[in-house]
Amino acid sequence: MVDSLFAPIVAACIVAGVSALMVVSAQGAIRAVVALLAHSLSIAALYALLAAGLVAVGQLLIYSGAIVVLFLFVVALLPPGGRQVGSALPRLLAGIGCGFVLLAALATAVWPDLSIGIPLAAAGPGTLGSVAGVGHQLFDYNRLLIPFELTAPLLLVAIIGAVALWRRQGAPS
Amino acid sequence: MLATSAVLFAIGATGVMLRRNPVAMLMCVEIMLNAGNLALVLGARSQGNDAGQAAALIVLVIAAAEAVVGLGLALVLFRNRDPVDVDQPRSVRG
Repeated sequence: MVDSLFAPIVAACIVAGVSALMVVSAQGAIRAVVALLAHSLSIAALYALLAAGLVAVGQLLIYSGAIVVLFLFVVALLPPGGRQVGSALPRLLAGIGCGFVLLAALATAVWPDLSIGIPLAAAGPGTLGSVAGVGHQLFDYNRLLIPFELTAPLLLVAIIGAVALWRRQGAPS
Repeated sequence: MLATSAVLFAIGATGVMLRRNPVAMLMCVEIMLNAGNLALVLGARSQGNDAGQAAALIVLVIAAAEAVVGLGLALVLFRNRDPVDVDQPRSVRG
């Protein structure tokens, strides 16, 4: 069971890491969006391998379906040939340095738990990740009901905010 | 796999610091959110508990809201200024 899952998990991890690097380093916006699509697909595959089917489907629908397409629309709406500001060398070095410092901090934080990714057999699939189980967590008053319900007004406010931002800018002055 | 999550988070944070194009910065933020979500789902798997997966779903929804507002801001920036640099503008009211 675990052995049969090991190779796909490692492959998906590698794809996720490489595509994330491509998103960061891509020059053209379209290339970055396509790399982001590959990244979200590999993350969805990881969710499915971790017995999180519902989250995997949500990732496919929301990320690959909605967010990446939204990014594509924005890239298509951008004025062509707009001048891009490149990153200066000090900024490049500072960013990479900060990235390594952050990576070191995270590594020290997760080092004691680093092995929990591999011995997965301890918690057999069972009913983990079933729609009923996740739904029970989401709609139980004592668990995640209130955060879950608060996401509805959050989305509404986000939509209204985006439309208001655009309309105010679009109005002839 | 936790290592993958940490590496992805660091890559995303580096991207946010490096890129000056707001759309690219938003993509890097999405990578960071994905890394956090991966850690949540991994915790759910290793503990045998559904709560982490439910939290990951909520984070997905919040990521969608963040992308909507962030892309709206990016479009406004792109419309108003020819060389787009997130460090330059002091207001987005045009």
